[in-house]
Amino acid sequence: MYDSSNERPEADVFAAALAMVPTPPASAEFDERVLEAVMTPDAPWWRRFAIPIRPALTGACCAVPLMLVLINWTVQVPPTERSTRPTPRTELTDQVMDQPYLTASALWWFTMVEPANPPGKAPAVPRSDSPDEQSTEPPSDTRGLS
Amino acid sequence: MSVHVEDRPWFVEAESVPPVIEDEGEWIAKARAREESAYRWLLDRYRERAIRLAAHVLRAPDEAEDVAQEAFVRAFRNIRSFRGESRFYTWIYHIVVRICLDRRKLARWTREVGMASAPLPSGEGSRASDTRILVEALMDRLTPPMRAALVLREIEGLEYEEIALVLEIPVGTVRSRLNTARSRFRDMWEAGDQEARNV
Repeated sequence: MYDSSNERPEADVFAAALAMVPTPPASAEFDERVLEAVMTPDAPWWRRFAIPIRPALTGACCAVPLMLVLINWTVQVPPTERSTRPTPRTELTDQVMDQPYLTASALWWFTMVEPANPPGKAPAVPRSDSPDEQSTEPPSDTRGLS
Repeated sequence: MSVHVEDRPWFVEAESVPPVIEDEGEWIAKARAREESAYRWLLDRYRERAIRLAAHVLRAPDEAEDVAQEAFVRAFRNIRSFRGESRFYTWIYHIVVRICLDRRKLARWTREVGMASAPLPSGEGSRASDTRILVEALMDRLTPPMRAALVLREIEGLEYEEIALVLEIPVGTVRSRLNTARSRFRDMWEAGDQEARNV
């Protein structure tokens, strides 16, 4: 077991020396600061939640008016000519898709279409009024045309 | 090495534990009722002790008052949770130590590393000031929990059981911490004496 009698001589010197180590005195307004902090009523419960979410609320407050302005602007701006006039590629695609008998070979045409066709360079699509002919031969096959 | 207190004219009796005041319970009851006079009474009684404990544990006198202030504010706001099973000073000391340790954790113990290499006093000179510097050097080398145990025992005069309560550690750990601190002090003391003889 611990024998406290052995510690006394050193402990006394130690305690005496420790007591000599200076410590800062309390300032004159120490009590007033403590009492002011204690007597001030606690913040309402909602404020504790409001503080952490304040950045998000601020962001939302800025984003909503900005979004309303953008929406208002996009509604008021007249549609441009480019957006209304279909490109040749769009026209061809529409024609293929509007066929009464949409077959696998017609869909196969889409794989041949280049991603970005310049206007006027759209690939030639074999068109035929006969649905049977379309269904039997792929459109790029030129045997029938020659 | 034998050390005799009688040989030291600078010996100052360390302050003992605060004397028991019978009506402290009444003041605490008034503090629970948010009476300002009770707050002032408790502040007047424990203010200096709280600042002193914080200064020793932190080894940063400029922060000590802030810590003590925060401790009192916390204590008074939560005084209804103080059930009176222990003395009020153990409770306020407990809060002070916790705030100190939290601050040290936040500071990532940088101050401890920086001050660990504090030089030992050597040579002739005022024995009292040498001892004081020696103790300060020792305190810098100890960890804050160890310093807390030391100050609570040697300056505040708490019993081991009370220190265990304040630091939330077993009594055996309190004893071992104090033994470690004292043996380090003895080693440093002997090293300082040896250096003084060699000069």
